[in-house]
Amino acid sequence: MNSPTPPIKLACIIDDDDVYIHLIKKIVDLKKLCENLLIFKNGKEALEYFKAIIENTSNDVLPEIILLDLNMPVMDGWKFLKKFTKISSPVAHQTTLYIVSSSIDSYEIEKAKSYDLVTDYLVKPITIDSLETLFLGHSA
Amino acid sequence: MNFMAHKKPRSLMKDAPKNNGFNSPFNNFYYGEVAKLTGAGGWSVNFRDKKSFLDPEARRILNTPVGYTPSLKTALEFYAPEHKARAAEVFMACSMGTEFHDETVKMLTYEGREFWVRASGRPVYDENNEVIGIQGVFQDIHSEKLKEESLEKSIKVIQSQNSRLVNFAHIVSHNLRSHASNLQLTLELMNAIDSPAEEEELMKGLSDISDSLSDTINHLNEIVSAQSKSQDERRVITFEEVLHTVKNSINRIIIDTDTEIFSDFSEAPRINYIPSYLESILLNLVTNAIKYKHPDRDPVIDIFTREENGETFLIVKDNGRGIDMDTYGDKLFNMYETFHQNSDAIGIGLFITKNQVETLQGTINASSEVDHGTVFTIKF
Repeated sequence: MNSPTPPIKLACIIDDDDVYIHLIKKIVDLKKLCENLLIFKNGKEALEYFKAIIENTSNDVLPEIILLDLNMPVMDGWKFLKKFTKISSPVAHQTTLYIVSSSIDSYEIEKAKSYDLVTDYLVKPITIDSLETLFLGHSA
Repeated sequence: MNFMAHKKPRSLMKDAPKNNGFNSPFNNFYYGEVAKLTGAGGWSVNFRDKKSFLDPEARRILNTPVGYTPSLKTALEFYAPEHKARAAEVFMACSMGTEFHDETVKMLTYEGREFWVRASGRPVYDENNEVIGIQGVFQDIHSEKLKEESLEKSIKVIQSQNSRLVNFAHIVSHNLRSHASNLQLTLELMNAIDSPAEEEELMKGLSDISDSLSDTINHLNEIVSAQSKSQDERRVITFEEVLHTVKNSINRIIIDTDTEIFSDFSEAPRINYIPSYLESILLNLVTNAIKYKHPDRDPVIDIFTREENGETFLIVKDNGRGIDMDTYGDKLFNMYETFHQNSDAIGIGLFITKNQVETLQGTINASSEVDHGTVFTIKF
């Protein structure tokens, strides 16, 4: 099951929770879910990076999967979604975005899912299994 | 109102001094009692005789001296400056034939004390249907108006407390949930891992989670204890002594950051307030100003008081990096909202400050410009 070459080359986490990031890294290593993991501590950092790629000022590639938190300082997940929607239209098909948040507010869940860009809303804690399904399912 | 309708009460007016269409039944027993009970005074102006009239209750409400002769010329002096224009307008319209009901205006007593009244008035006509004067009634509704104002104020405070409670509940559940979910994920990972070295690392992670969890609980404690201090006694304190205490408690930070603090409390040197609150409010605003100082310059903080319409304001102005009010303005005082990437930003300082100010029926506002600084204004 754990193939020697990870199915996904690049994934991205946008989250301000260090402990969570550390745990996801561990799972990714353990299950060999992807080759590289990009980490941003808030929406602004991520947006600036993606902007450079989309506007072709960088040779880097877009991640295949983005796991986005909602509650973050400086630029939260909502603001990121709005801005990313505006710039990502030519390349949106290259990347799959999941919301991973600890909010169980049904209003927030509905609102998040209303974005075309958002594939699904996952409530923390996510399990090793669900993370695996997410990554493997994506490559299949 | 037509002329005929005014004719009817004439039978009641046998005591009136001049019975040419003006109702002046001020010797009538029932009238006198109603006037006293409702705090309503009668008045009239006769354009032909150029005479004005105030009944006994009106004289009592306006506190006019014995033997005072009212006149149209000085009538406007009984209205508060900001309501003079409105009073004149209604009066003019009435003299052209438009009666008025339920006008609420601020009046002045003879010695100049402001009070609210509700007034009505109607034109008086002669046999040829010409307006020959005005008569009406005004009721002292000052205490009701004050109650209404204080109710409105209370509603606002309750609304804002309510929205902060929702914010509080949201944050509590969010933060406790994130710790809980990290805990769960860690345990799951521990089960899936065989290497003792990895396991040990995860154990260390567990203690980090435990630390954050107790931090969160400490913050909640801080907020609850800030609330419960409102039962402390108010007393008259000077801003100077409170600022002195605050400066002493953060002396090292002030020196280390080369912070300059200027203060001028001459306009309102003292206030009747809960000392621990004022101390905490000032401490929060001053430390915020230092924490979010501009990277290119040393912090300069101006602290001063203002006195306006009997109300005291405290203004704390800094030259820090400021905050984008369009983006964050409505979130500024929310719990756990942080706007800069300071690692020591927790986001409970302003939440507590606003709580304390509002617990004592005050308000706090901020204005800010990115790269220029922030101004906090507290109305006590």
